[in-house]
Amino acid sequence: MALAVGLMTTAVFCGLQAMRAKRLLTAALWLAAVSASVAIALYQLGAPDVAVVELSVGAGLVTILFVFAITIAGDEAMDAPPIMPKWASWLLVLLAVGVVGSAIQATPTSSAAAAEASFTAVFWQERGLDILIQIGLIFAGVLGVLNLLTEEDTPTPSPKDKVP
Amino acid sequence: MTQTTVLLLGAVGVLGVGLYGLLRLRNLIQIIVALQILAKAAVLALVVAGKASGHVNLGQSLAVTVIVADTVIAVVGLALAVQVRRRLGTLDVKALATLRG
Amino acid sequence: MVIPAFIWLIWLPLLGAPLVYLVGRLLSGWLARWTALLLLLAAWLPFAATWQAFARHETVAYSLGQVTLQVDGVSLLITAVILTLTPLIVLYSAHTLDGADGSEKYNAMLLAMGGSMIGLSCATDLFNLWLWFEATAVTSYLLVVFYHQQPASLEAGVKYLVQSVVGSVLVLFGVALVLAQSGTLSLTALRQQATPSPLLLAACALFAVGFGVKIALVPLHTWLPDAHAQAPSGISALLSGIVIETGLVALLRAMAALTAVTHTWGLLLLMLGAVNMLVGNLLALPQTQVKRLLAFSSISHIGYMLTGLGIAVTSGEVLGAQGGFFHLLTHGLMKGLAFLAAGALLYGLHTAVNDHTPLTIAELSGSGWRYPLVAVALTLALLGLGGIPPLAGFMSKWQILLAGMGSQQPVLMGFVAFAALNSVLSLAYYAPMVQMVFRREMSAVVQNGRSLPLTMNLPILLLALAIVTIGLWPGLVTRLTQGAGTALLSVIGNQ
Repeated sequence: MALAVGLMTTAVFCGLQAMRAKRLLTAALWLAAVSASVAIALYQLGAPDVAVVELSVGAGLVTILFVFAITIAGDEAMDAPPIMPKWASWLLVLLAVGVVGSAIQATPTSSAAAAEASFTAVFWQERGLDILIQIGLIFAGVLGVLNLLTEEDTPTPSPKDKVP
Repeated sequence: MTQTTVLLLGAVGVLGVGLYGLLRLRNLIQIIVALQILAKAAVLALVVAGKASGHVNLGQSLAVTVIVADTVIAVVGLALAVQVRRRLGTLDVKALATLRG
Repeated sequence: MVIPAFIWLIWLPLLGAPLVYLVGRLLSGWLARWTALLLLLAAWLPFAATWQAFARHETVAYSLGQVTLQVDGVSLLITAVILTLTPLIVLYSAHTLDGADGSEKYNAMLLAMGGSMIGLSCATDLFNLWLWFEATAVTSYLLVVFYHQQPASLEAGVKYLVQSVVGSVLVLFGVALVLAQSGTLSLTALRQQATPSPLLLAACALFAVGFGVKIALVPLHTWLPDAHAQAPSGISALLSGIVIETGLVALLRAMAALTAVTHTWGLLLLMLGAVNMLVGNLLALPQTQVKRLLAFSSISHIGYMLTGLGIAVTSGEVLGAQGGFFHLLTHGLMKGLAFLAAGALLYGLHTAVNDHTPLTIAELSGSGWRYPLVAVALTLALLGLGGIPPLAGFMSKWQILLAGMGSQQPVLMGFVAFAALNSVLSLAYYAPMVQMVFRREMSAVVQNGRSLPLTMNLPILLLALAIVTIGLWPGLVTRLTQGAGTALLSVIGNQ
């Protein structure tokens, strides 16, 4: 219980740090910290399988991808003022969080924690269709990245100045 | 308050942090970090929901699917950011605000 | 276990996508295009089989594990529109893509996107619905930023990606809340056991906002004009003609399962529809670029569909749902045609002479004399969208109007009257464009315009014929729209 409160506070704190970081690399590392605290919370909740995936993919692979992208694109510091004033952003966020949060006064706890198939059975058999769609998703993502990162020999002249 | 309630509220909090970032940020890669934070909130909420309703393995399966889907999106988003940087020389989304009306 | 024919409606395009990519990569882009076209045309065979089974009142369903896909009237309607538009767009894009790098990726993604939308329309499980929705989004990113050398399309891509990811995460959060409360994700089971509770109410709100981003509900519409105007013209036709509409179907499916939670969601649909019509029209009025104007008009047309569906949900009037779905069908064809015709002119006047700027309305001056077929088709599409009788768009708007008036409820009559007024208002931007096309003096770009290839003219001709035919004999598609209308009403339980 106390551990859950602590982990959630850590996750929110790390998330805020990621949003406030001036350097991209710092932001990516704070994201990994959010991911790690979520993973621990999941483990503690009794969901070890997804905790492992979250830790390896969410905290590991995704961080590596971010580091890659930041190396290519450059880690420029951005001191320019944000688009929306701080008070307005907080107001909107608190409104949204308040609406959803107030609905969660108490989550129902099911007494029937009994017969459920194992994770492997649920994942591979009961939700088999989801896995097939996932494969399609990965294929679409790969093609998307290939398309974006193919350099043409003759890039078309930038029409930027002509766009009104 | 039970553990699941605390975790669900925490997920809403993480969601709020991501939304806050999206409203404030100007750097495209940092915006993708914010999108990832949103995804973490959804993953947490799904597993907690599964636990609360006595279907923890269902929640876990859905969450794994979501992690995969969101990683794909992160990859596409980062490729887009790299391309933006290459074509426009900056990651500032304000440089992208040419289309209006 | 016997695999029903309808599953091929989904598998054929989805398995075809990697095949098309490989053919294009290893052999030639030309062969890949014909493979894609052939696969899409072949998908009409399972469609016919499914149609017959459905007409015999059989349950057309397929289960894998705990997840079931099931065909109902709405899926048939959506599938028909997808299978009509997508092959035409493969053909249409053939010429513009020749020589362009990655035409095989483009065609593969077109197939995959079509397949995922058909899958979405058959989903009966809330999470599965979300996953198909996500697959549609991921496949469309590539298509929106296909011209990734142009900063404008990169910008459109960034806006599209960020907003649609936020939308899909919110939907997912809603799914989690539903699971927490009721412990099931099956839409049928939810319909039976959902009772009003704060958690489910919050889930409804999350669905409305999350799917609302995808269907461009005002004020969540800001990404739409950019994405729809900057994408390649064939893709604009698909995005406006069917992709946002599948978002609408997803919203309907999710909300219908939770009808017991919010009895007022019909009214919500009507109000959102009214706002969408008005704002879409007002924003379209001052536009000077052809494709941008068409994109804004899509926002208002979603409003008409919402009005029809909202009438059905509030009053149980089947005619309203039928009209809403009829408008979905006619809008798909008309907006598809409008984008294809505008895209053909954009190609002939700008792209073919290596000019990548957007086409403005002023530049259309006199184009009707240079490109008679395209100009007539564009005129038919625009006047149809504006609701001029006896074109297809008038027929569907008329049905919505009749449904509202027939309900005898003052509130509903007010909403349809507002829709009719908006339809008249929309002529204020459609008519000048038509007039411009048929002006006597040709603009400089029109005089220098290149001729258009047959692969562009043919799809335009076919769609124009379809619109005229449906306008003159609306009875041809009645069974399709009626099936969809009845399917919607049967799931919201007629109240």
